[in-house]
Parts: sequence; C-alpha cells; structure tokens
Amino acid sequence: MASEGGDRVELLQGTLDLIVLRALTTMGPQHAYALADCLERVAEPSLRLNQGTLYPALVRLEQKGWIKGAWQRTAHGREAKYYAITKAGVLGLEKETERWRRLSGLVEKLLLGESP
Amino acid sequence: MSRVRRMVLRLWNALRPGRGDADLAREIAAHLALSEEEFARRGLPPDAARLAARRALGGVEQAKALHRAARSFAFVDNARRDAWHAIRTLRHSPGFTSMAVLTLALGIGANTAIFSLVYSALLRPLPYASADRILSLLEGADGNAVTFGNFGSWRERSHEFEALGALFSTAATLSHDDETSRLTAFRATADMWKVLELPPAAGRYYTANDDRPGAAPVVVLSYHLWQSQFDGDPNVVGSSVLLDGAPRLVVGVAARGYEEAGLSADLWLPAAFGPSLLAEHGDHELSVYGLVRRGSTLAVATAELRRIEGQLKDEFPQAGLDGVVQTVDLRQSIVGDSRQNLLMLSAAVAFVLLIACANIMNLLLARAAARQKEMAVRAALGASRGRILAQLLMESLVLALGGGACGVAIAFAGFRVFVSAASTSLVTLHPALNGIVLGYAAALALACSVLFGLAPAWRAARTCVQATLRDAGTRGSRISEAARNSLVVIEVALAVMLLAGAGLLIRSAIALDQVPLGFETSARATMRVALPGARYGDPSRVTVTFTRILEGASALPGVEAAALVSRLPLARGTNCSVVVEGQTMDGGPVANFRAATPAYFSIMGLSLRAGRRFGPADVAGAPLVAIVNDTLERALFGNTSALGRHVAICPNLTTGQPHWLEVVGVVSSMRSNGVRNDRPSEIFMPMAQSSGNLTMSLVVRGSAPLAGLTPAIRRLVHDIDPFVSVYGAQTLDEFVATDRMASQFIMELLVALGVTGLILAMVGVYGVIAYFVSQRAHEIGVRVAIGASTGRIVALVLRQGCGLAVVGVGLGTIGALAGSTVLESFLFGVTARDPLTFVSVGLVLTVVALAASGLPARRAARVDPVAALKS
Repeated sequence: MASEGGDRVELLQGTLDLIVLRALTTMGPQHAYALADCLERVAEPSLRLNQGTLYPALVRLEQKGWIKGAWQRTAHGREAKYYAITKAGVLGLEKETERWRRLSGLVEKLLLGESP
Repeated sequence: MSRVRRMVLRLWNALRPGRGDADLAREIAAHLALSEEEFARRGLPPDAARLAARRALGGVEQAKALHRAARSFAFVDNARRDAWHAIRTLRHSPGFTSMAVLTLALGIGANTAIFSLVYSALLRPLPYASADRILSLLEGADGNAVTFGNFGSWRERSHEFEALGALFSTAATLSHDDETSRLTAFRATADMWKVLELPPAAGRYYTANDDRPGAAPVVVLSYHLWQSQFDGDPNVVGSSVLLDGAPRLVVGVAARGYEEAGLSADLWLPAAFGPSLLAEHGDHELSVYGLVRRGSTLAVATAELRRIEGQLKDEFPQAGLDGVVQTVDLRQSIVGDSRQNLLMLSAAVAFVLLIACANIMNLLLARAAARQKEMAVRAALGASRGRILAQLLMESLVLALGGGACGVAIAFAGFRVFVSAASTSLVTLHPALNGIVLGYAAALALACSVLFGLAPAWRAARTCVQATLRDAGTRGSRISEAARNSLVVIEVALAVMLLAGAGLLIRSAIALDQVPLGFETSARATMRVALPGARYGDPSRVTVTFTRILEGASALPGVEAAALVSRLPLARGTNCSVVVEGQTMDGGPVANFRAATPAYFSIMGLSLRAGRRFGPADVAGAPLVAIVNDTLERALFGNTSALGRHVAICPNLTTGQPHWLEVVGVVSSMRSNGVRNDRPSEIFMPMAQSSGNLTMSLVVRGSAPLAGLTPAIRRLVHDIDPFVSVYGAQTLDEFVATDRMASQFIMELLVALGVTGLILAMVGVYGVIAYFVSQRAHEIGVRVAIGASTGRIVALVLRQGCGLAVVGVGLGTIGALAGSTVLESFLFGVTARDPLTFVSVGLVLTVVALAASGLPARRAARVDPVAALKS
C-alpha cells in the first residue's frame, strides 16, 4: 500500500469512496475490475493503487446503502458483481463532493496564503 | 442515517464471522479472470497474463483481511477467535480449569450473595417520592421510641412538618375460610400514608376520618397477604374480613414497595389514638416519621421538635424525658444493626475472593512458565505482543466468566440459606437476584480476570523468542518463583486475618454461652395468648378469662406448674420510671415492667430474697402490691430494705394522684435485656391488679412435650372463647436461643468463609511447594547422589513451606491486629487482640502449610538421582 515513488499520490482516507461513487454515476453500474481499470487509466501514472484496496471501499459504501451489488454476466459471458449507485448514494455523493470542495478549497487557500 | 446503518451492519457481521468470505472469494476470482483475459488480449502469454493479473490486484489475503476489517469489527472478530481458542486450550487441561473455576465460583458466589443483601439493605434507592424530606425521629439521648403523648404534642404544636406519622407493631387474628391465622400488623396513623407515600396496589388507604376512636373499623392489607391469602383478588377491596373476632372493611391493599423497603407487616390498621393514650407521656412505643414541609429544612424542623420536647420535659417532669429529639436517616432506621453486619461480611467475602485470585494467579504463573515455548513459537510466527497478551487475557476472562456463572449459581443456593435464617434480622429486607446483582457478579468476574490474569499474561507476552526457542529460557523462572512465593505469603496473610476475625467471634460466642441468664430454661415451654380487644373492653372480663385459661393449663397432664406474664425475659415491652412515695417525683430509675401470676417466680427459678411472692389474695380491689428485683431495690433504696415501701410505676400527672403499690417481695435479678446486657431493674405487679394487657405469655413447666401440649392448650382456649388466639409456641430453650441466633448466624458464616480461605491458602502452598520440588528435581538428585539422607531432603522442602507460612503468618497477624478493632462492637468477653486467638490461628496456618508441603516433600524424597541427573 505504501507508495514507493516520490511523485505518487497516496489517497486520503475516504477519497477513494468519493472517486468510486463518482465513477459509478458517470459510467453506470460497473464491476470491481472495470472500476479499477478505469481509475488506473484516468490517474496513470500519478496514482497506482492495488486493485485489492477497492474492496474495502466497496463494502463500506454498500453498508452505508449508497451502492448496491448484484451478480450479472459480462458482455463476454463471464460472471461478475456489478455495483450500481442508489438514490441515497446520489445524495451522499452530492454531500461528499460539497465537503471535498470545501476542504480542498480551504487547503488551497491556506497554501496560497502561506507562500510568499 | 447511513452511518448508523453501517454500524449496525458491521456489528451484525461481527456476530456472523466468515459470512461474507465466500462471496468475496467469488468476486476476487471473477476479478482475476477478467483481468487475466484483458492482459491476454493485450498479447501476454497465458502464464504471464495470470501473473500480471495477480500483481495488479495485490495480495489476495491482504485484500480479504482489509475487506473483513471494513465490513465488521476486527477486534470483535479477534476476541471471538481468542475466546474459542481459550475454550479449546482450557478443555485440554481439565484439572487446572476445574480448579480455577471452582475456586473463583466460591469467591464470586460468596461476594454476589452478600452483595445482594448489601444492595437491598443499603444501596437500593428508597421508593418514596420525597425520601430526602423524610425524618425518622427518636426520643432521648439513648434513642428511644416515642411516647403516644409526645407524638400527639409534636403533631399539635409543630409547623415545620407537612405530616407526622406514627406506627407501632402489633398482632391480629384473621378468621378467613374457616381458618384462623395469627398475623403481624402495624397500627399506623393515617398521616403515615402521606409521609411514606406510595400509591396503593388496590383500593385506597384509610384517611384521618377512619383513624379516630369510634370510627367504622377498616383495614389495609399488605401486598403479600393479598397475594397469599386472597389470591390477589381485587374484589376483596370493599369486602369485610373477621379480625380479632370483629368484622373490618378492607379499603385497600398497600403498595408492594413498603415490604421491599423493610416495612413488612401483614396488615395496616388505623392507630385511632384515644385521649387516654395521647395523655400517656411515659411509655415509649411509637416509630415516628415526619415529612418536612416544602421550603423548610431538616435542621429547622428538628430544632422545632427539640423546642417542643423541652416544653414537654417541663410539663411532665415525671415522664423521665430529657428534652432530646434525635433524627435518624430513614434507611438507617429501617436497616438498623444489619449495616455493620453486612459491612463485616462484605469484608470477609472480599478476603476470600482475594485469596482465590492469588491462587489462580499462582496457577497461571506456573502455566505461563510451562507454555513459554508455545508463546515463543507464536511470536516467531508473527503474533504481536499485543495479540499474545490479548489471547492470554481472553483465557483469564473465559475462566472468570465460567467462575462467575457457577458463582451466581452458588449465590442462588446461598440465598435459600439466608431466607431460611430470616429470623436473624440480617434479612429485614427482600434481597433478590436482580439485574444489578447479576451485573455486579459480571463486573466482579471481569475485574478478577484482570487482577489474576494481567501479570502472568504480561510476563508470557514478553517471552524472549530466541532464548526460549534455543531452550535457554530459564532465567525468567527465578523471577516467577519469587512472584509465586510472595503470592502465597499474601494468601496465608489474608487467611490469617480472616481466621483471626472468625476466631474472635467464636470466642465471643463461647463467652456468651457461659453467661448465666439468671433464670431456668430447660423443660419449660411458652406461648402467647391474645384476647381480641373488641370483645374485652371490661378489665374484669380479661382477668376472668386469663384465670380460666391458666387454671385449665395447670390441670393438663404433664404440666407441673403454669403462669402468665405480660412479657417474657428478653422480650420487648414497657419500660417505666419508678418513683418512691415521699421522695422527689422527678424521674426515678427506669425498670422493666411485668404483670405476672403468682407461680411465675418459681417457674422461672427466681429466688426470693425477702418478703413474699404474689398470692391468691392479691386481686383487684385488694391493696395494690408489687415485687421488685434486687437491682431495683438497690437503685431505689440503697442498702435499706424495700419491703413495706410504696412505689409508683409510670406516674402520670394527667391521671391525678399516682397509684401507690406496696413492695411485698424482693426477688433475684436476671438478664432480661439479653445476655450482652447487665441485669436490669424490674418491677412486677399481680396480673389481677394490672389487667391492661390483652396479650400474655403462658409459661409452663413440666414433662409434657411441646408437640402434645400446644394442641391441648389450643383446645382448652377454644372452649373458653373461640376468638382467643394462641401462637408462638416454643420451648424456653428455643426462645432464648433466638436472642443469640443473629450473632451466631453471622459467626457461622464467618467460620465458613474462614475455612474456605484456609483451604484455598493450603492449595496455594501445596502448588508452590510442588512446583519448587519439580523445578529442583535436578538439584535434589545431585544432593542425593553426594549422600544427602532422605530426612535432609524432606527437611529442605518442609523448610521452604514453613518459611512461607511463617512470613505469611507474621504479616497476617500484624494486619489482623491492626484491623481487628473494627470487630470490637461484635465481641463479648474477649478483647480484639486476644492472644489465645491469634496464637492458635498462627499455629493452625503453620501446621496446615506444613501438611500441604508434606506431599511434595515425600515426592522429593523419592527422587531417583540417576533419572534426575540424566534429564
């Protein structure tokens, strides 16, 4: 889990949940591999996550009732568990996004204020 | 909302471990398959694609662990697994486990049983809504009950009280369903319901209108009587019951809370104090409770009563008042002496539990030494110190909870003993195994598991992995031995303190037994005979009926002599001041007053010092006479004779001139107030001249056994008047024994606890010495090989045990000497530092320790030097 390179970003607690929620809203229901693949493609090379770390995030969101998983067949006939965002999840995403904006805005402001 | 949802699901998952694992494995397998397919599509050969997919996913087991941590609570999961592991481990050593659980069960059981009493007596909140404004009131510097007259004056003159209620205990005969039963009753003023306010279980309480002389007779049933005699039938309210031969209207059922708070009588009757009773300022009979007015304070209210009492002292100089009013905490007034007893028992059971814990800690230390290898292997395989500590503590917890559960069972059994010994005044309240008591047992088990488990677990978790695995880990055993030795010393010291306390109480009991009572008890029986007040308004009728009963009883086969007395020795009753004609009328010495028939003195074996006993001529209308005992004679007349002098009992100004009685006899004194007290002054009047008592004790001397005598007397009484009740039949020996029983019961409990402590300490010594021998097998082998005799080897081991015992006895004796003064109020005829007790306890402990070392010593003597040196 520990990042090795200096230019790699380590995810803040809870941001992975936000990213997963956001990905599910834009892409529609996805299985874990597709989500991981998508994240890697978007973020490469600054963020490399073990795909396995996705699972705790998924279970957290599912327990909150924000996403719901169901076993389905892929286009190629393989079985996979597809996660879809729920109504509560949409609301949760709005709230979390707002929170994230406030937090990052605050951090940004502080960083700007401190640099000469 | 989502957070709550998640918390609930996590908890739910924590309780169903492994439930999500299969689904996750399937998901990860699917993930890998998809990933592998993608890599293969990009052109990697199958093997390389599989590897790449795995690499991208990261550690599968790690992912599973993270998933598990996110979906449930890891510590719950760990605890659950540790618990199962602990149970399996403990099952593998049944000897150790049963020993530890049994030891703990004794300790926790004893503590739980005593705590249930402590809780109901001292801790449970009183049920009354305004308990903080209630005062329990006593008169006089020595804390007497209150006189009828003074209560009346307080009620009239005080302004700081919302209500002042009074009650006294009495008895009544209930005729119900063709059966008569003798019941206890409170006669209470109507205001008592306002002071101690609890809503009735059914119907209503009686009011001031019911509580006046001449009012239609009503009764309030107690909750338990309503349940047991009337099956909780609500229709009993409004019906009529036959009490003492007269019908009474049942107006309601009292709240159950009164019984739980210690006010337990079968019936509540209106006090209905008439003017003659309210003019009585010398007879202290009433328990008085006051509800202080809102806006006033307890101090102001008490000060007001003291002022009134001062006025009463001046107004009634012969009533023997000293102008003092005392207030007692409401709980204290109900619990009384039990408080001290309970605290003493609590201390004793705490000692037993501490000894038990020390014992288990010893066993665990030995176990930890034996399991060093196991712990080292765990540590080498990656278990953190915290995890090993947690796992070992879990073992202690499982032991403690097992012990706690068995302990609660023991407490439950112990309960039966308490209840069957209910006459001991230790259980005036109703103890129960409620949630709080069970919670206490659980908390105790938890505390014990930490107390005895932490140190051994800490030591085991700190095991040096390398040294232990190389099998060089013997350095720690020295420390462990020192720890175990000190534990045994502590155990012995605690046992000494416990036994010293028990020993002092035994010596007191023996001393009490040897105190001469001053009267005869063997081959004598007694029972109470009560005339129903409603039918005996005329004093001459009272005398006639009692005389007929006495004549009938005297004529029964096997009866040599019979007498009636208003109050047996050791029984509660009227105490009055006695004044001499021609001397000052201000408060003479207080004497026990008794009305008796002529044969009473010879039956009780009192010797006549001067004058005569009562005779057949001492009847109503004849000159009034009295007999005093020599204690009263000395108090009134010094060295001159009392014969021919005139005295008055409870002289009451409101009735005008006192009735002067001529002293016609002087008899020997006896311990009428109990064996612990000095012989009190006593004055007797012939029953025929003092017919105010409707309840008398019949005393019979003869060979007739009680079982045959009681029904014969019942039949006889029934023929004279079917409404007269006969109850409380006992031999005089039994009657006297109840006086000693309370202290005896506590003493027996303490002795049982002391013996338990002794046995536990013995087991502790045995364990340590046995361990000592097994550790020194090699050394002993060498000694034998170079020529040490069996005697020397045995002496070596015994010296070890003896050393521990002597240090423990020394420390324990110091502790007991320092602590035994708290027992002083329980002791009789022996000082708190009685040398005989302390020396014998020390000897007993030393001998027991030697005996416990004997078995290991024999084993040491049989050590085969060849085998020992080879190993």
